[in-house]
This record gives sequence, C-alpha cells and structure tokens, in this order.
Amino acid sequence: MTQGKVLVVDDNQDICDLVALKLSNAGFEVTQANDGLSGLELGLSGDFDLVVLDVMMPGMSGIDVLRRLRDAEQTATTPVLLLTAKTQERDVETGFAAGAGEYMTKPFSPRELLVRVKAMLARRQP
Amino acid sequence: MLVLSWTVLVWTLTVLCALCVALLLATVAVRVGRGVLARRREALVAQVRPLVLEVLTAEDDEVAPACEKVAAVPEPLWPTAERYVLAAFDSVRGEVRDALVQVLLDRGTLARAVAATTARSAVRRARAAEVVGLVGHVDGRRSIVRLLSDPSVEVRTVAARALGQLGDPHVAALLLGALRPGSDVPASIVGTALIGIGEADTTALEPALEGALADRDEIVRLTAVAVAAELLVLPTARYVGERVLHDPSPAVRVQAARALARLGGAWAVPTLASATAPTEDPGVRLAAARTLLDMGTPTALDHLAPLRDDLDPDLRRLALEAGPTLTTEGAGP
Repeated sequence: MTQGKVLVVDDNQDICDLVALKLSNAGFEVTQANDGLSGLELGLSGDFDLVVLDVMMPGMSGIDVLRRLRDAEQTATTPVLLLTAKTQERDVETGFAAGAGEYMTKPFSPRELLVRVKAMLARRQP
Repeated sequence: MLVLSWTVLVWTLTVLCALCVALLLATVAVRVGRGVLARRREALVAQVRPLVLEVLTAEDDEVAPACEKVAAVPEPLWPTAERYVLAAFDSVRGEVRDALVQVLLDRGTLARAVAATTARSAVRRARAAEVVGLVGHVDGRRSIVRLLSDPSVEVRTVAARALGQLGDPHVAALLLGALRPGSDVPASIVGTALIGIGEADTTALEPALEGALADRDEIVRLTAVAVAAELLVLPTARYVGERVLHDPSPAVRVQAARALARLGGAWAVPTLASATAPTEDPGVRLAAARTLLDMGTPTALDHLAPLRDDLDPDLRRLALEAGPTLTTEGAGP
C-alpha cells in the first residue's frame, strides 16, 4: 500500500532521481518533472498528496509554480516542500509567503527530506 | 601566358577544394569523436550512478554495504565514480555524504588532489583545490591556504571557495587577506566562504571580523560588515556602528548603516540619527534613514521627523512613511 503520491519537480535530473528514489524506497508513489511548466501541469491535476519543488528552474521558477498551485482550488492546500540552493533569509520568506509548508536548502540530507515529507503528510491527516 | 594562367587557376581551385573538403572532414570527425566520447562517458556514468544513488538513499544499516560497492569499483571505472560522487557533494549532506567522503579518502582522492595542488598547470591546480574543498577534509587545508597566494587569480578564487567549504574558522583572517589590492579574488567569493564557515561557528569568526572592520582596505571592511550582518555576529555590532560615522569610505558607511538594521538596537539610534545630518554623504543619509524606518521604534521614527522638509526627495519620502510619531510635541489626549 502506497504511503502517498508525491510530485518531484527539479531541473537537475540527478537530484530529481535521488529524491524520487529515496521517497519510493520509503513506499511513496513518485512522479517526476524536470521543469516548472510540466511540473505545474502535472501538479494542477490535483492527484498528488505532496509536491517537492525546486526553486531555481529555467522558464517558470518554483515560486511561480507554487503561486499557481495555490491559486487553483484543487491544489490550494496541497503541501509543498521547497528544495533550493537559495539560502538567504529573504528567499526563505518569499517561499513561505508564496505558500510553502517547508523550506529545505541544498546541500540537503535525503534522510531529513524523508522525515519532513512524512511529517508534512502526517499534519494533513485528521 | 594564357595557358599558364589557366593552369595556375585550375591548381588553385583544386587546392582550395581539397582544403574545404579536408576542413569539412575534420569538423565531422571532431563531432563524431565528441559524440563517441560523450556516449562512452554516459555508459560509464550509467554503471556508477546506481551505486552512488544507493548510498545516498540508504538508511542506517544499508549505508555500509552500499559504500562497499562504491569502494569496490574497479580501477578503470574509478575516475568516473569519483567525479560522480564529487558532483553529488554539491547537493547532499549528512551521514551518507560523510560515508562517501570516507570511501574517497580510502581510494586516495584527497592525497592525489593535494599532490596536484603543486601541478604546473593552473587548470590542474584549480581542479585540485576544488576537489579538496568538496571532500571537505581538514587534511587538505594547508595545501589550499598555500594556493591563496597562487600566481593565477582563478586558482586563488577556487582556493578561497574551497577554504569556505573546509569550514575551518582559523583561516578566516587568511581569507580576508585574499582581498588585498591586486588579488582580484571576488569579494563575493570570500564573503560566501566566510558565511559558510560562520554558519557552523559564528563565535570563532569574531576576532577575524573585528580585525577586518579596522582594516586599511575598503573591500576588506565592506566584506566584514556584510558578513557580520548576514551572520548576525552581535559582538561586532558596535564596531560596525563605529564604521557608520567614522569610516573614510562612503560605501562602507552606507553598508554599515544598513547592517545596523540587523545588528543594531536602541543604542544604534543616535548613531544613525547623526548619519542623517545634511553634511553627510547622500547615500549614507538615505541608508541611515532607511534603517531607522526599518527599526520602527518611536525613538527611531522620531529622528525621521526633521527629514520631512529635507531637500532630498528620497529622505522626505522615508520621513513621510514613518507617519506621525508617538513622542511628537503636542501629541496625546
């Protein structure tokens, strides 16, 4: 039985694969996207329990994707974990202001990411 | 004569055609060669990638056996594995990273990189410094410190970045020294390196920052102010405050005034208020006023009131943003 459906959006294929493998090893059903636009298209389907989203991507940034997800009724409350190399306080503030539930900076601990994903999903349950 | 001219023309055209064909063939050969090399590299990476990913996604007792597989990669494949592991260090930290560092140490990666820091080629020295920084082991520190004086600015820059990655606060003064005139190491690289070091141990950076705030070089002082503010090194706050009024450089006075938005408290208000004096540099006045506005306390905002009639429109705008103050004469029930 799957722990949940997660969408991973990152233009770095290695990071995408790493996060996807870590989560699928833990029992999650994972879908990947390598750019903001395709990530948004997949995300707006509303099929996912959580989205792991890179911020700095060519074309549509993770913050723009997040704002669009929040604007859509079916994804307004979908938990989003931002995974980014941007470590400045103002970047963190921007991420949370846009509606992120968690903000992790790179380099990141895959183990910690899994813990945070599980915690975010647990908070959602009644 | 006409026959000779025709002959020369024909031969010239023939030679030119041959050169064009040769150039075309060479271009095609290079592209094909690159394609072959790229595919070969991809095939090699495809062999090591799953092994490295297995380590990076391993839990607890899975880590050691996964690392053994990476450690057992045969010699012809090892350079590919080493490059892939080092590339992963940009993105990953934690126990799994530490485990892979040990694999690299056991396979001699650090030793080879340290040896390469004395290579004749600047490219090799820079790459060696990068590897030492990525491995992040203190044994590489001495070789990197030496590279801060390298003849090549690119090597010096990579060495500065690597020292930041090594995380040893004892090199902070040396890093700031890399900003000396003629060094050309970007201040942003040194600043980022210091911030990286300071995130682990801010206290250890204090002596170096305090010294740098009094340095004769403007870039060093600017960098020290920026780092102190970013890391919230509060013990340096009063030294930063002194820079607001007494630094010979307007740029440093501006940076220091803005830094007090993070480092300052009630004690900084008189300093900032003095910095808004009409005799001060316009940029400094604006920075000080902006900081007083950001502080938002009644005392701070009171000092903006006189600026409502200032000749500088930006200062007037900030003063108006402050709104009516609580301690304005005549205010009250």
